[in-house]
Amino acid sequence: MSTGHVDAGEHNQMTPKKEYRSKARINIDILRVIKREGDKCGPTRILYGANLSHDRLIRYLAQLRELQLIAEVKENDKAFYVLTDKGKQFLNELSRIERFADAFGITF
Amino acid sequence: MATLLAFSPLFMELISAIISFIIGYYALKGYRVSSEKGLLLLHFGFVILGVSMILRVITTFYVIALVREFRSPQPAVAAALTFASLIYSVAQLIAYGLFTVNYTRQAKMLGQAAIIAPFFLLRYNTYLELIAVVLLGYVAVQSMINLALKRNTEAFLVTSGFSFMFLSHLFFLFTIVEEALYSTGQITQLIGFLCLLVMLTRVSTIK
Repeated sequence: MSTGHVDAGEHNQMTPKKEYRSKARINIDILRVIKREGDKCGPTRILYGANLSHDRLIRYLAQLRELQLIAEVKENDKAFYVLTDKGKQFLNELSRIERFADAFGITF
Repeated sequence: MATLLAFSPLFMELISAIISFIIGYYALKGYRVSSEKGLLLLHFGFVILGVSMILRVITTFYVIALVREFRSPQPAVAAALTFASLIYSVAQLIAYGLFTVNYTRQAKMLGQAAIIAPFFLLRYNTYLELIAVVLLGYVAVQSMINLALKRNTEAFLVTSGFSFMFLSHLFFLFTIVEEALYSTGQITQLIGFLCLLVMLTRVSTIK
């Protein structure tokens, strides 16, 4: 039965245990990778930094662009991503909420 | 001075209710951003808790006004007071039940053997206040486990908050033998909510 998240019991010993990440968690991870990289960040760095498959990365980047949290900049035909002001504010707010939830034992 | 002292527990309850609403609001804000169900449970829990406290404050004011008007308590007043007390207790039980569900969800995710709440509920089903004490005791213990795992100031403040709230209910429970414990309970409850307010202030000032 697929519940959308990975249960410890579903793993055998050969498979490394995967931790379930919510959409919010993945968004935080992507935004944090871009922030960490400074002024701009390429898709490969985001892919490795946020630990995502290519398909999921494209989908999440499109969502974040739609929400105007990140913007795409082209340099020598290569795409880079930057945090918008709205994205920076959103990331700060998420960090606060994460801390708040964490204090009550809630992780997302 | 005597009037001020008489109304101070109500004033403390009102402040506690306001803090409860603020925390509930912040939890809702968190839910809107993260879609984490635990935050929604927290929101409903604190809002219900706030509403129950406001209800008690309003009812007590109303009853005091009626008693002053008619000099002696009327049967209708006594009935209203009993009904309001019942609603207050049930609302608090729902709120603490939501906190318990939240912590049980988290405990399950962490793989802890934390399915002890139903046993408590089965054992104590006679007195609402006693169930509230048991539920809140469970919540306090779970928040202590979270503190042991996280070891940060915010988790410490939440643990202190729930522990003081648990203590306050113990004091309320023992007002049967000593009425003076009611004020002690109110003070303890207020300290608990102030701990949660300090936690919220710390969290919201993170840059």
